[in-house]
Amino acid sequence: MYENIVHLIECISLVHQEGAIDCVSCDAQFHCWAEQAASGADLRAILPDVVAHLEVCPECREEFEAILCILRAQQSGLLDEPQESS
Amino acid sequence: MTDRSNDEWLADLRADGDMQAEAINDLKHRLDRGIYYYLSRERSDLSGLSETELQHMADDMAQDSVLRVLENLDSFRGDSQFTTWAIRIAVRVAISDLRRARYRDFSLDDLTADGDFLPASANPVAGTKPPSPERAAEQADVLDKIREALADVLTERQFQALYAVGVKGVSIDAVAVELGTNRNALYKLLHDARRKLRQHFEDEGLSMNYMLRLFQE
Repeated sequence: MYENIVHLIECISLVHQEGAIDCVSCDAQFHCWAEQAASGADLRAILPDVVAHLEVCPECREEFEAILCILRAQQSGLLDEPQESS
Repeated sequence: MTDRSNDEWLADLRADGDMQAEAINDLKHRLDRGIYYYLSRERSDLSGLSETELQHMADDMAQDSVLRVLENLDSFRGDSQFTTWAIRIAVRVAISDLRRARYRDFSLDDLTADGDFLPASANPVAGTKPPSPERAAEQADVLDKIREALADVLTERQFQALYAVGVKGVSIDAVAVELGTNRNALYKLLHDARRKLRQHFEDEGLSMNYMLRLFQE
């Protein structure tokens, strides 16, 4: 019954501090941060503004996770050989 | 496929003839693999597509991505592996395509045409356990305050964007197109709307945790 209200309140709750990073800045640096994350860096510790942005911006989060997914597959050698039929 | 340093990628992609053709082919092959992996393993919304359909989709996206990479070669600053930078571009191409397809028929006007999205009262729907009279009164009071805040604190544009993105989960990119703006500007508009509402509710003595608890039965 209150699904819309709960979504609205959750959305408002996610607002982060002024000065946090925006979408354009995120996009311009995603490749660097994804490499750091793929090598095991704790982004929450070293880039808290980025993590704060990713928590409230589903678009940026989706793109960052996609880059990370491909990098990890690459690191694991999953992209070296033809994909098996599933 | 040849392993290349960043400088070699740049030099080969800027070269003429066979050297450039080979580099373009290697890049496309690499991006194709990455995109296909992402589409086939991470996108549950595409699970109804066959392997062949996914491969065609990945091929098209990789082709577009290579063109985008070539157009933007001068902007590569060498702050990552060249291929990671190219993957970032490919991901943007792929996900933008998927979002365009998903929201092809989306209309912000249609979404907000229903008017008030808040329940008219705090009365429970059939089949749900009714709240106590005290809780129902509390919910009705807070509902009124939320309704007032949305009308008084937000602009029409902020309300439309917040409703579409925050309540209905529509892609920011799709809403940005509808509002004739871009993702970054819309993100800032949403940020302002959230901040103003949060401040307003806090000034009214309504914390986010309190309101969530009140409506999460």
